[in-house]
Amino acid sequence: MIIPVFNEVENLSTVVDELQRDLPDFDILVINDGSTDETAALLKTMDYIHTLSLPFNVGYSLALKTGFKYANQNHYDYIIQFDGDGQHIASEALKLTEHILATKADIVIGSRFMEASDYPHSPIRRLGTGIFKSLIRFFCRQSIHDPTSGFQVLSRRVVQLYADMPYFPQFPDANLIVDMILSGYKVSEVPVKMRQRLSGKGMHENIYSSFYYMMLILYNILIILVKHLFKTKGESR
Amino acid sequence: MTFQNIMLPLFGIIVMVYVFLRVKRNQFSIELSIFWMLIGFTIFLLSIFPKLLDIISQWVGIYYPPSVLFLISTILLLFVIFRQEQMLSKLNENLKDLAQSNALLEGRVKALEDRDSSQV
Repeated sequence: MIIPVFNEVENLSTVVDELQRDLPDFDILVINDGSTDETAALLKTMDYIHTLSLPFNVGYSLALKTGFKYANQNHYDYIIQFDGDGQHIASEALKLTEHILATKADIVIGSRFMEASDYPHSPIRRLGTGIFKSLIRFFCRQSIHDPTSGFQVLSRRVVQLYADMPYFPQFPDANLIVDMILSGYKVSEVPVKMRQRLSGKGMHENIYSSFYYMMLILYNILIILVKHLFKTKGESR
Repeated sequence: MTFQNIMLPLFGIIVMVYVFLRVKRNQFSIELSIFWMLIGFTIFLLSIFPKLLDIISQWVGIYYPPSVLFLISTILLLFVIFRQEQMLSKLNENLKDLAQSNALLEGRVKALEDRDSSQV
């Protein structure tokens, strides 16, 4: 279970306590991405979890990748990507792990939108999710309802791939899912419940950054599609 | 078809293909490649529709259209240099942090090793 955190001192203990209570059999790895608040001090008091501290803020995706490297080194068969802000509910993770064990999928995504839910989503994010969803349906012939979900279970071979991937994308979201499906990995989805983050601000809260994020992912998907187009024409590496 | 009519659009396309190949072979980050893709695309667009430049120059009120091109490219280049300087200074700071934390870690490892060997 990998949890990248950046300045989450208010939410972290609640999240970790919940994980401890509901999922006692899981190893928890918290990656402190150069937090400038008391997150590091708080982590030192929790000796029942594994922690890695990055010397400065490297961004969500690289913090996550550090976790993949750790999982790889310690030979975990499955890892769960989990948010440190309280959005994800610990007991819901069992649904994902049961599914991945039963279906032998490579990636299982915890989806907010497979069943009607009251999860509050801003109009811009909703538009973005809609666009990504239809792109994936069109190019991968597969329905992924929540391609931007950070609540995922990954199998060992995916973790190995991600851990060694050069230029791992800044936002490992819909683009990465398109890439994985087109590369022949088995991606599936399980409905889960989620909460609003407990306190503080998230990653894409203002209009400019969510627009930038959208454009970047769309461009990313475009590059990936062209890449795979060339591959099917027989020009392989 | 004059020489320019073929060469300039071709140049734009070559820029885009080159950038794409770099990204595809994992030698260039996707985030940074957007800017260069746009540059290639702009060269392509302007060379196919030179009238665009006239429209822009009329719009900003400059009589000699090519000077608009120089103005825009100079501003863009300055912007790129500034962004690079920014990244460079940030990288420099990160490198210093990294060197320091490495030295501290090494010190801690050595202290632990010494303690272990004295216990044995």
